[in-house]
Amino acid sequence: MAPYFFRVEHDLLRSESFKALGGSAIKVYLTIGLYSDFGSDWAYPSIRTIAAQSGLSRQTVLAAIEDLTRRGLLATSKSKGRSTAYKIMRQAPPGAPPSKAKDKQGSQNLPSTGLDFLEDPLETGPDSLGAPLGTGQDSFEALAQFLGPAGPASGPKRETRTKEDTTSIPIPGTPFRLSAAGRLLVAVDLQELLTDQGIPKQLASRLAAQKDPEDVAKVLLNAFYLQSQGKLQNGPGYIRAGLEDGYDLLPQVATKLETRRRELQNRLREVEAQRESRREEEERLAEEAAISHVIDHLRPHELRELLALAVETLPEPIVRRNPTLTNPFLRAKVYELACGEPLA
Amino acid sequence: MTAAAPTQADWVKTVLFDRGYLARIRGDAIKVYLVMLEICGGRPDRSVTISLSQLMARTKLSCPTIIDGLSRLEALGLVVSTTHERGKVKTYYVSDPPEGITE
Repeated sequence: MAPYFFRVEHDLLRSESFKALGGSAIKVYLTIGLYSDFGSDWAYPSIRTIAAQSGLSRQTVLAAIEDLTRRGLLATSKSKGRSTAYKIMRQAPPGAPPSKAKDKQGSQNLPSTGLDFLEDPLETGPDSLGAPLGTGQDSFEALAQFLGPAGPASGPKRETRTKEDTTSIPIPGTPFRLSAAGRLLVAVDLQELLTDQGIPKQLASRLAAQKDPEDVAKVLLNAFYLQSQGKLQNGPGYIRAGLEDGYDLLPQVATKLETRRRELQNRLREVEAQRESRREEEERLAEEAAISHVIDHLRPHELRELLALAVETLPEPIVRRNPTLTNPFLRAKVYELACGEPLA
Repeated sequence: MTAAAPTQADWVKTVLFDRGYLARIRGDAIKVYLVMLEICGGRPDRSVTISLSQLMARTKLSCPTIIDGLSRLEALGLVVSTTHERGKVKTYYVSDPPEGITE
């Protein structure tokens, strides 16, 4: 515990955030560092304990925790019925600390390169099943539609275009795609993506190399969702902790993805049905062309003989209704008699 | 047989938490104290020579705030002023504060 504590202190002193932090925040940081578990880095002190150790009021402690998480120095994990966990982040994200004006905006205080694209008022993502991979160009509205609390009714607009060879569907507002099998597909530079989210470059490189891209995508989707709900105070901290501890998809995100996956499956079925229908139509046209070709090349007396033979062969009701060559049954029979083989 | 001397980290932890000085350091004095601790390598009874401007640069605090912080630390016994002559450079050393605290 003791050497560990001292390391926390040096991390703090050497960070740029130290200059901007107030005395209360530093005291809270030190206190949480004292309670950190050596192995997992997580600490579980209560607000009362932190307040007693640091000599601050509960309200001041809460404000200090908020300040620390906003600056990326502290990650918090709250779960219902369990004590809040805190984690000292060794490498705080670089950049200027958030201003008071921004403080009121909550989750928008993440590094500017991180989640700005979510607010980019560009074209919405879910236009097409075959749309190119989104790389942050999708709008926040698209993400909000997809991950928002309003449910499927306000979900993404239906795709109007299709592309037959596409077996994945873009996840609106994110650079990821979802396969029909439910796998998250990542076709973007994860290191760059993590760096954009405020993760230090070196750490982003390590995480991108070590972690399964799908796991990274899960944590990022969780982060996007939490941010869209205004519940994410420390994006880089959450992403880092999520990757290191292997967070799974949040239930809300998993439900949305499952809905999206079913949508993709239905669309693929529709595409397959259309393809089958088109194939049958092409076959029918080819047969008709072959019959016409054979009939056109028959001599008049041959045609008459074959027609009489065909009429005799076919059942009476069919022939009586339309005893001419426009009758498809008759045409097919004539073709069969002329070529010596029935139509396939 | 003498007891093993505490490590630097033990000492800092003991002072701030076990002896309860962290709760008694008010305001931004903790920032000043941490900078002084770092300079003296975390060892007690070490003289620290640092200018006010350096302290200001490292803590981003104003001059009066630092002087006020030093006074608070001195009152707590965490640092001891070693020069009192007017016109002389005022130096401090980081002391090993007592168990019982008087403010």
